[in-house]
Amino acid sequence: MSEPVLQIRHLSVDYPTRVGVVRGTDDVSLTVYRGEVLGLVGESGCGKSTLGMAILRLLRPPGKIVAGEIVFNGQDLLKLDNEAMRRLRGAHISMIFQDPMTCLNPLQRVSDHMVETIRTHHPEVKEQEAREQATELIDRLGIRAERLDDYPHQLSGGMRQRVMIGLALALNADLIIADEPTTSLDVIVEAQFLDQLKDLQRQFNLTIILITHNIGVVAELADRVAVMYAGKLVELADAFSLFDDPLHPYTRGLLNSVPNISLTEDHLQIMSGAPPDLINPPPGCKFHPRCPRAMERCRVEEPPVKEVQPGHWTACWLYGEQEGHK
Amino acid sequence: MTAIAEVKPGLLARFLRGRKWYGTEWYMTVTGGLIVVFIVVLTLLTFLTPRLAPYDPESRTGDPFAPPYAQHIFGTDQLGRDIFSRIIYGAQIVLQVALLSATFSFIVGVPLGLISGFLGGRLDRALSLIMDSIYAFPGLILAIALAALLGAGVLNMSIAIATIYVPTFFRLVRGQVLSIKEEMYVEAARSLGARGRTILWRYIFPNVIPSIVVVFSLNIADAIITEAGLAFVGLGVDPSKPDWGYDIYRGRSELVGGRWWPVTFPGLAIALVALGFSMFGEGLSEILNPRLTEA
Repeated sequence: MSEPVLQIRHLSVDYPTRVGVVRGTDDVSLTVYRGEVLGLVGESGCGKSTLGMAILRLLRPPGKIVAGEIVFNGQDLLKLDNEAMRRLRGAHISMIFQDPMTCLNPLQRVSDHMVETIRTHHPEVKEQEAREQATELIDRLGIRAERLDDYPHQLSGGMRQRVMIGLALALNADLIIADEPTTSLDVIVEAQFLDQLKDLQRQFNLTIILITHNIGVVAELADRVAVMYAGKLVELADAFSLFDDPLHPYTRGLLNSVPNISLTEDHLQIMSGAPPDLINPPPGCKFHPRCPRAMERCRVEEPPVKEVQPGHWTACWLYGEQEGHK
Repeated sequence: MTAIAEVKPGLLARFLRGRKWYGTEWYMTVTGGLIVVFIVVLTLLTFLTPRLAPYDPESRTGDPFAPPYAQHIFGTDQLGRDIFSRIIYGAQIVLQVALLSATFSFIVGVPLGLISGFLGGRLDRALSLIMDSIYAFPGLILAIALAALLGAGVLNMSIAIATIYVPTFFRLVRGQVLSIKEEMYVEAARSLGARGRTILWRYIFPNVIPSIVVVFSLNIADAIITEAGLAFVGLGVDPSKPDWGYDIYRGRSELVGGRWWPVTFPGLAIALVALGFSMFGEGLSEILNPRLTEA
């Protein structure tokens, strides 16, 4: 495998609230390699977006990283000062957000956004050069150059999303975090967008963390998939083995609950129960109250993440006991 | 046909289509705007020429207390000065004070509100406390106290009035900043590495401007009334100069004797100008309100 771009080690994020502390992500460890698309899936509130924002150190207060390290190109991001972190954003790590309708400043033209992003990081670039770069960029994204002087409200949702990508790509970032990039697009635009993202990814060998609750999007784009539940990483594998042979009962449930046109009605299963209360999470494995295969041990002891098969990691007591490592 | 359809929805286009789209607000804005333009232009002209009024506003040109008649259409005051001329020239002080004070409050209140809302924390709490304490005072009383402290004069009156309106700007801007700060485009800008000052200046401030314009206009309306109030209690400028508020004060005692004109006409002038500015402001606020335009 190629070199790691980002290594997240034992990352925990807390949200102190009036009624107690919510642990947004709990002891998550992940490695992202150059040129891969890592899908990060899970239900709403499982901590996947928190993880994305934590990487950029843009958690909304009172959210706070309480433990762990985030190593990006050999540098621990949590040790950088704010100014160094700011310079990193956009230039080395950038983000695509879920709602293209509200991601662009309504009072700035597309060109202003682009020029500003380029010149923030390269103040030596002249306005005119930055504009030329922007023209080239949106041209590559399939937007006509004359739209450069439009305001965001004059663009369609798909175009705005492409402008967002353009901004994220403007400085050849090493890592792009796409937080639910297609959630607010309709299926046709979504399909076009995914095709384009795939093309761009191949063309520029982009490294993308694709955060989504949409298994279909992950299946289409991701090389590897990480599944999160209640702030925990429960399974991590390459996309093929994850879809072919999901190990964790939660992943199975998740895959079974995806509506599929070829399934008959009774194949669609709804997972019983609801996500746990994160202020008072259940003891042991957080999934045990909903798990069809819960054992006595699951109620008391939390399973560690183990490599059950080569490159296929999961946190479940059903596996790996015989290997004897913790 | 197509030419009209292709007009970009800029402010002008919205105004032009306003008749159909916005109804009442549009008429309010236009009526208010016309009054404002009329008064402002008239007043600017009075600075250029003393010949705008039929008589010299500061000297005796008729019998004292002459009721309105052909030569003096608004009558004369106790010194025989023409009330109509005094009203035309009296607008000078009122407008100067109103514009100056609204500008002062703008200059102080807007940056403080921007910084306070954007940075938050202790500075925000301290500033909010100060502004809320000023806001808690009855406006006119505070203005009277300050004007008495500072002494007479256009500038001092403006400062006194400005002080009571600073919190209006501050609270408005701070509130807007707090909500715009949470917008996705601000977060997106941060994720692309934008500096704090870029975000404040290019993302937040332009989005606050429409509300500031509205409050500015409403504040002028308010300041006109406050200025008249200050002049009424004798804290205005030189008493020989025409001033609506002071003229009302002097005409007030004559009402008992049935001489209604020294009070009524300056009063109407104040009401008209204040109404003009507030109609303009209110109408503008309705038109600039994005919830109405995007529906």
